[in-house]
Amino acid sequence: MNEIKKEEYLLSVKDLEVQYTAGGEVIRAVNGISFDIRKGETLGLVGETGAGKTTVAKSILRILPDPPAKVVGGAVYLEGKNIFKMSEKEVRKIRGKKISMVFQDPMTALNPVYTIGDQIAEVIRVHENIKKKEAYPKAAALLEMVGIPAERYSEYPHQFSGGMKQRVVIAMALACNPEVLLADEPTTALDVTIQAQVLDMIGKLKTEFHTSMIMITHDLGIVAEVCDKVAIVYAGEVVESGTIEDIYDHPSHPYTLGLFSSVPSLTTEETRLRPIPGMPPNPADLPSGCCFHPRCERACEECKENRIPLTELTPGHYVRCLKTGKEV
Amino acid sequence: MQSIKEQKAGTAQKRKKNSMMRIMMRRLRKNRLAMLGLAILIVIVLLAVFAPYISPYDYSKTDFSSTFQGPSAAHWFGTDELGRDIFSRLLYGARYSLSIGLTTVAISAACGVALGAIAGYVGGKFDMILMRVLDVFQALPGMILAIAIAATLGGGMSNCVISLAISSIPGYARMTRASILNIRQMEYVEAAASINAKSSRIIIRHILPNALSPIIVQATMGVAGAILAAASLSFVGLGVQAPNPEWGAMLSAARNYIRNYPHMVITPGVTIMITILSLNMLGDGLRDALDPRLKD
Amino acid sequence: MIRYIIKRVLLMIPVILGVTWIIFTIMHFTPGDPAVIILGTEVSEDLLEAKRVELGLNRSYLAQFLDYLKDVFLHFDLGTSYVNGKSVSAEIFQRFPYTFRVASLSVCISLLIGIPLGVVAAVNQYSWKDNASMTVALVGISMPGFWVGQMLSLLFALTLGWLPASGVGGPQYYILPCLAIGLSGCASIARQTRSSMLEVIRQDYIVTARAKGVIENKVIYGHGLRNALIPVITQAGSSFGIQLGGALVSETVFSIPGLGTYMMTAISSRDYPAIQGAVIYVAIIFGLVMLVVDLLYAFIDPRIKAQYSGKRRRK
Repeated sequence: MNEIKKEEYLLSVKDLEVQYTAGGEVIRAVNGISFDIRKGETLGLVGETGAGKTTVAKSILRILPDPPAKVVGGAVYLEGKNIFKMSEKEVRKIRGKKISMVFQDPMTALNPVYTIGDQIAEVIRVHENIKKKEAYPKAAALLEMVGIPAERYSEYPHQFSGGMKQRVVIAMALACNPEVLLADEPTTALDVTIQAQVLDMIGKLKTEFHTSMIMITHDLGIVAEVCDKVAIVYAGEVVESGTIEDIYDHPSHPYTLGLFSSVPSLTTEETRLRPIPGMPPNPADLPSGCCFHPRCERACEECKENRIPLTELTPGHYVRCLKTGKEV
Repeated sequence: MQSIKEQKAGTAQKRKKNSMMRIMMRRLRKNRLAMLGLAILIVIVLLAVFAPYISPYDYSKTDFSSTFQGPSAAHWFGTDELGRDIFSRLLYGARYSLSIGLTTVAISAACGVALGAIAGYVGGKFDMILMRVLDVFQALPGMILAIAIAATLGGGMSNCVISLAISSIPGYARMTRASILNIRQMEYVEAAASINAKSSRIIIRHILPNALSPIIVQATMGVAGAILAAASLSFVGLGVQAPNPEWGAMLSAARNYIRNYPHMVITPGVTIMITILSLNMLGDGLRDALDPRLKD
Repeated sequence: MIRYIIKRVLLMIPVILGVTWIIFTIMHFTPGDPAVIILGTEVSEDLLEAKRVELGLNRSYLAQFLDYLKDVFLHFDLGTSYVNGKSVSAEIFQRFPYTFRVASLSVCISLLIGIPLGVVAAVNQYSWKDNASMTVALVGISMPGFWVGQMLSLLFALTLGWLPASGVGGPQYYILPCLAIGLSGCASIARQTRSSMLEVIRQDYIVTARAKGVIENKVIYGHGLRNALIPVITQAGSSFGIQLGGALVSETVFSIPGLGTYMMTAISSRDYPAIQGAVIYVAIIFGLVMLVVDLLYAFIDPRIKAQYSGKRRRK
């Protein structure tokens, strides 16, 4: 792993470990994830549901539900400063302003008893300490920016469809021009046409504001469209990471290969889907050694023993596997 | 004739229901407060059942030489205005309260659930009419409706049960109806209907088990509520009357002596409180145990 | 919004009529001869018959009912007492304010103490604050209101002499009764608030609020409580009903000259018009209170408001 020159990177996550304690069981949701993002870069965090991606995002903002969840190791550096060592007051200044988040389910992300306009204005007023009257035009402008007529400022969330609600959530996230946007599966709950619009909007951010972004998704198509770098997450670990070209042209980890080959082709004729055999592991009871070994065709005895370290295949392209490079 | 698939689905369902019961029992056992409530309740029931063997005195025997006595070795809770032993009267009073509570709930739950289930499943005119009727009955607060009915029927235990039962029926009916309406539109019912299962089978196999949990909780709390309401009715002269040793009636009789002989007022009240407390603790525990959202 | 109010008021009318009909019918078919009740048993049969004609008891059931309806709703006349010949309405109007005062103050106490208690318990779930307040609440709903009244009266009035034990007058007369009745209401509101808050705190929009950098207090109280109170309002409405019932029963403990004592006397003296009138009156009042609660509900929850003002969802 390269030495992290903290000043070069805008956001650095280093060896993050998060556990949930529920009913006496310890659930190891995140087990040593690290990645770095420069200004203007978009990182794709790819993995199945339950791999720990949302937990990573919420840890960065320190909005994990504290009784069950706990950060047990690692650090997150924003412009060189460790977020985990900041006071609650300092972290609050970051939330919504330097780092903001777009959530997965737009249907429940908005408070039903406040108007959408007021909810957008709220994030502005929290960080800029201005009166409601002054925040109103700014919030209205944001609505227009995401394609909602400003006249709908005083309407309530239940009066909007899912796609529009998600746009409101995006408007809230962008209100204070954040430097990093955490987008947690922002289009999963929407249908494909709306998905395209939302992705468009997000793409504009990159070009206009140079916002860095972490795009959490399980959809490889979205990753290809929007991301510069990719980290494949499995069972709370990064199993492969690199640039888009590295991952899409030279996928190396068996899990990554499985992901790509399970995408049905539009061109060749296929009769059956090719899922990855087996099931994702139970985070309360992870396999020894390599977490993927129960499902891997290349697995051998060595794979079951110790935790596999990341190896650098080509500069910047890392894989957590003992069997890469070998022919199947 | 059941198809093999239906048979397999049936056994799977039965297995599921059994394990659901087992999960609930396990969760309930873990809840210390609920177990405490259950223990207290069992003690009270035993005391009531074995009252004739346990009570030191005849509860109705008057003794004018030892009236208004405070708690002592001879009379653990003292005596009342007619020299009767209060402890013995409390023991027999438990019989009244518990039987009123259970009977009221049995009647109102049976009627209410039946009405609500039919309304929920059949819908249409019956549902509409039932809802209007329930609206009318619920236009009066429960206690007042019970008082009104008891006022016309007169005092006594069976009238007390009838009036309390009538005022509780709407609660069960509405709850059942809401449960049924909710479950009816769930997909697994659609799935059952789509494989052409009969209506009654759908109700019994799929809908009722799921609608049952809130009813069980409501019934437990309902016994507590009925005991409280019965005591209130007796207190104002409508329910079980003196010289019967019903707890509320005892409090009513003691009303005039509170200044000088407070022990007559304290003990029946504390007894009511402990009984209802144990039922509420159990009811709370049941509600938590049956809540599907709480993790194991 | 106006449409909603009108709709709700219209809905109330058949219900009140229904209650009137049921109560009238029950009282009508109860055994007992009103003429005997009024004149006594020592009177001759002719006089009794004359009385019956005077009261209109020889007409058909339907005719009597319609007459009663006319009297109640057009003339606000709830009949004449069998016992003392006075107007039932006059008595009720004079006595009800006491009962209403006790019940409303009790509800206020319940809300003022119960809601904060529930919030504290929810926000500190599993801590000692939670366990302590919920245990107190559990005990609170297990105590009969009239008995609490007796106990409080014993302690504060008879033993310590700080507060009056009976009667009405200045504010000090209301303290004990309202505390006694409000206690169990307080407990149930606290429990409802707690469970409501617990559900709300887990919602996604609370996480969203935190992610915006909003102060934790504002997240819990501004975003959370506002949503959590919605079901509590409904609970407060039915709590009023329960506490009204409790007030009726407790009036005997505190010798308050309200509707409760009137009803109890009427019941024991078989004064059917009085019982009838009192019950119908209570139904109307309760209906109005629930109407206010429903309006409040619609006012606070924009989803309900929208349902009734006919706003359509636009895509």
